[in-house]
Amino acid sequence: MGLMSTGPARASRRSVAVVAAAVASAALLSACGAEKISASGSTTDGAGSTDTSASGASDKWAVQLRDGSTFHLAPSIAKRVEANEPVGYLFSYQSSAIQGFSEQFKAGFERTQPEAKQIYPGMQFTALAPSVNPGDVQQQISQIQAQVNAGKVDCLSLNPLTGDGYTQITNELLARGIPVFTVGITTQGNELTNFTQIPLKEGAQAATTVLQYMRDNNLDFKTFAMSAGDPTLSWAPQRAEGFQRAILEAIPDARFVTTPRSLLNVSYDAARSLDAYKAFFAGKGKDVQVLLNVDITAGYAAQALDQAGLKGRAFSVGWNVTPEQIQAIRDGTQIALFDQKWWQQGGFGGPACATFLKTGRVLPNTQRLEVVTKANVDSALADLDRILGKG
Amino acid sequence: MSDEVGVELRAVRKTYGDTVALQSLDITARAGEITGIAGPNGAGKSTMIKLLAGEERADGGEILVGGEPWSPLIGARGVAVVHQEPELFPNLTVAENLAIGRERSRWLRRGMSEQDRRLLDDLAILPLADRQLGGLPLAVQQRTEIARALAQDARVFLFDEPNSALTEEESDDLFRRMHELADAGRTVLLVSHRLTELCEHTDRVSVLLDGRCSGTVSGADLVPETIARMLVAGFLESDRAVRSPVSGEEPTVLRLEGLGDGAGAFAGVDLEVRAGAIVAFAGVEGSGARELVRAIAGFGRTSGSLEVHRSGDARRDQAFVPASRADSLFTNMSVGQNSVIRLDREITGPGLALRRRRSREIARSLSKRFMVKAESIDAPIRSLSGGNQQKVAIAAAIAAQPAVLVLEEPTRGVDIGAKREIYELLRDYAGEGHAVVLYSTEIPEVFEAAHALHVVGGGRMAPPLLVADYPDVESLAAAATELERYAASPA
Amino acid sequence: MTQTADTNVVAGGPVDPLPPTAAALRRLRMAGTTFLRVGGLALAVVIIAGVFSIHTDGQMLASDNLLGIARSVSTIAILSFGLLFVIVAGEIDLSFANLYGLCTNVIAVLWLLHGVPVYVAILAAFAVATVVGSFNAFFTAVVGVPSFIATLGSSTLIFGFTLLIGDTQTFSAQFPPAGHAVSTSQLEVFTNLSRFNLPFDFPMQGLWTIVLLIGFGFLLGRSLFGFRLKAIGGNREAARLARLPVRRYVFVAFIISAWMACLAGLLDFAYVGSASPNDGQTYLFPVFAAVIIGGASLSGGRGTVIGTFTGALLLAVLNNGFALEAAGPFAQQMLLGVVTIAAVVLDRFTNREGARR
Repeated sequence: MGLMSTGPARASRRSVAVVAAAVASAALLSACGAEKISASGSTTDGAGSTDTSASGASDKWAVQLRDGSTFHLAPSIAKRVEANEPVGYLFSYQSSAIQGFSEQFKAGFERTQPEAKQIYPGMQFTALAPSVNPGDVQQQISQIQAQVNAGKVDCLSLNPLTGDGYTQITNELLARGIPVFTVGITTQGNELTNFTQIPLKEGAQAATTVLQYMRDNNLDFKTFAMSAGDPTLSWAPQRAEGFQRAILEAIPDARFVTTPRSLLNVSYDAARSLDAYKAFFAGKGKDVQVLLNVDITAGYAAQALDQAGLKGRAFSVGWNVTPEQIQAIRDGTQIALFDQKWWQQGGFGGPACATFLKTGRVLPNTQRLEVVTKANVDSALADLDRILGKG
Repeated sequence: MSDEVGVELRAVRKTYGDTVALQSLDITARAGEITGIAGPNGAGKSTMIKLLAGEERADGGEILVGGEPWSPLIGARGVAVVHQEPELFPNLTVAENLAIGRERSRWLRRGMSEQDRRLLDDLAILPLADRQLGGLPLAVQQRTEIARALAQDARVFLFDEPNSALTEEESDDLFRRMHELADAGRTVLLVSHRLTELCEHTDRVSVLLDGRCSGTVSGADLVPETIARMLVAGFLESDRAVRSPVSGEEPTVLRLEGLGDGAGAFAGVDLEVRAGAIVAFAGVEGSGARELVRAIAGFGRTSGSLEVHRSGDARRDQAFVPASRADSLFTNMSVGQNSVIRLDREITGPGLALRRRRSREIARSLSKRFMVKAESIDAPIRSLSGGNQQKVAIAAAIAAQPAVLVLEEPTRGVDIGAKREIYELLRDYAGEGHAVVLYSTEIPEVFEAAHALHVVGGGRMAPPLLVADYPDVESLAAAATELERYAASPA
Repeated sequence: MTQTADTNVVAGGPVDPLPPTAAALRRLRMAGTTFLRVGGLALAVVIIAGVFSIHTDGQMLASDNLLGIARSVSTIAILSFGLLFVIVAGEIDLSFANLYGLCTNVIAVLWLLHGVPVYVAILAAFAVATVVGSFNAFFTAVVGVPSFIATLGSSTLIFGFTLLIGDTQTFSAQFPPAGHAVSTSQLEVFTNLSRFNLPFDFPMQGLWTIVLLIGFGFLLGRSLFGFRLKAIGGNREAARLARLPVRRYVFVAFIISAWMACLAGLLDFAYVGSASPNDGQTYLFPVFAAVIIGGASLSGGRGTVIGTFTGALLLAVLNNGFALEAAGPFAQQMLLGVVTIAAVVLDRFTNREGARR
């Protein structure tokens, strides 16, 4: 599922609702939570409530933040790091109950632990997530709060459900001297790094892949369509937008049967999306040559167009690694899939925290969308199985 | 005492579909007096209360309150009904119950007005003002209802069986408050079954029979015997069943030995009922009579033994018809479906498939035998009059052919014609070699339908009164009352 | 009726005082309520199909697409048949959607991960469903927890179990997890549950639905069970006092619902070949909508299998039309809302027609 994706969540109505919920939770936080944080800060370091009090000793960790202020590591953490004492790393992600996504996040979290331990031997790892699909803003924030209050968090990697709901807690923790990285979605706050994909760019990259495929196979696509599991999530129309723009630039007379604002809604249910694709290819989509699913169910689009007898004339393109899409790529009904490398997002925080605490260096966002085509499908699959420990 | 008329009903008429609840009711209640209303079940008392309170509109006639024609405003503000079960908000506090609906602003105000405080103090419930109403005794809830009525300056107070669930002390207090209300010039109406109380506390009593006022007594005539006679007036001696006592040779159908109730409502009941007998149990609410009858029907946890021997063509042990039709009928079903709902093998073929034609035949013959007035057996049950609905409920139980047919107040809210038909059906069913057990609150019902009456008081069952031994209803009623007093007193 | 002298004082008289035509008319009207309902819905289906058909140049009514609708109606139809029994019994079941997912995951984990024969895995899934149904019924009918709350709780509990056993993995029967093999004969049998080649390419799931439609139609409309279940749903207290087997029937209703959830999950799994923990969750609303649109009363005692099927068909046609047309998500949600409310309004209207008072 693509829920995890990236980018600002401004336009979507859902995020408006979540913001409302977040404002409520923020109010709650400011009433009791914030107090707790400072209280716990004072028990651990006695000076945690002031961010300007950092001594010269912690200059190594000074970072210029987005809003122009400077981050200083909390003296208590700095003291422990200098004494090579154990530090606590918390990875908080949006949900432990989303198919594929949660599995990869957990695998990534575990996979990079040895690497992080090599950098910072005494690091202790905790991963927490609400067990509801697709997530729960308030619950996730409470989980972080509880860990922080228990004094277990010296560095946080945060994968928010939506960006805006987490801005306040991110900035607060940073102000208390706790480093925060985000993965997947940015909070628009002061986080040191947002390790992620950018939906518009992802869409453009999808277009590049399709155009390359046209050149390689001497094809002349004119009719395109785009679908999503839930068109109301902000990144879905953004990926579609990026794709459409890049295609229109290269093929000015290209026709889009669905637009970023009217994406075909196929749901995340396997059977339902297969039905939806079949109907679509019988109806408005009967002339479509390339169907881009900005989500996880493109494999069913491939099956549907195969059953509709469109194989060789129409192709699917999709996101994330699923057995159905892999099979479709092998069969030649799907051009490519784009692997967001969820496990990389899950695994980023460990080494990033270890590196920062040890050296003060902030790891940059280096995430790349991996394009999986017929050429590299076998190696890509083997890689993923290895990551998930199934190899 | 003034001669000012508080409430006057003139030729008031009200029908529910085919059922005539009030034929032409004329009643006058004076301000400053307590007027009693007596009448058997179904005489139209509750309809009269509903009309005065504005819950229903009359079909004809005139209702005057304080000389003015009744209007919704008068009904809502000027007439207060104090119910058997107070109709208030159990989830709110006493003070909130007093204030609700009279708020002077949109904002909830903390605390009570001085006026409300004084009212509660007068009724001696001020200390309970902040308690949730639902958790308080009935008497307090009734006082809250009175307070509420006083707060809106009601002129007419209607007490509907107000003390049926109160202790003696509580009901004495309630009567004291009624007198206070009357002394303050308000009009008080008291609807009650308890004749002694009516005579003791009211200035005059009007008797309702069959939807009209059959007479009013006051002064020296105001004694229980007079009212009792008026209540059973029109009851023809010929109505009573030919009651050859059930012979000792009939097989025993029901045998109770040391039957007791798990919750202690009754204990140590021994009884033997033979085929062909109709046995009635009577007792006020809380006496254990209702619980005993339900236990005989097979409900509730009991100790001791209860044996049913199927005689004749009985196919099931017991069948029970509860008093309230809300608990005996299925409003989502038709007349026919309601009458065969208790059957199983009778209406099924192989594989539990319903034999529709057969079940319709059964339903139709039941409908005919019980003289159910319905357009057809496919008519919705709600389209029938109360009496016919009750006949369907009883028909459904009889259709199950129980060895013991158990009924709770079988003719509650049923017009007199239907009553007689129902009694006859019960006698027929007993005559076919079954036992019939009744829980009844009406002595005329017992007199007309039953062979024997067991009075229950304080959880103990008195020895039977054989109805055939009594020449008339009055003497039976007198004997029953005496037994009740005896049974209720500690041994 | 022999004892008294004046029996006939009262106008007891014969049963049907009305002329036979009036009675017949009434009967017609009674039967008409159901007929009107199903007929009205069928008409709505035809109108919606017609509108979409015009919009899509006849594609809606192309035989391939009709066969597609026949398949896609099955999931909602089967789930709503199960829910219908619970609703007729006067209860609510919120757990079927997550049970659908639990069943697909039980089958997937046992079969694909642990190598248990698929037949055994399916039996195990139905055993799990029986446990869940009994659990719901126990808390509802024996402990006395309102079924809304009991099944809300069990729904969450079920989802927890799904996550526990499946570890949020997605399973595919055609592409089993690395290092695991699936017997081709078992795979074929499994796939044939939903993809068996029927004449005219009629979808296998459509056939399942028709069989269940007839079977349940008989059970609810023509059997003692259905007759009594309606009574129990219509008036629980009266049913208890009339000694109907209330508890047993509530158990059966919840177990039927659980089995149908499991069957729908199984058939969809066989159809698409993949199972994941979030399976079924999106069916909660449409299935309730189908049952309500189909004329069942949420207060119990009323509902027909054919009506429910027509409700499911309406939703399937709508979904199909939206996919054909690729209308935006907003139109889809809004129309679904309109249809649901319209159905309930229609229900109140026909209901008032049926009852005189």
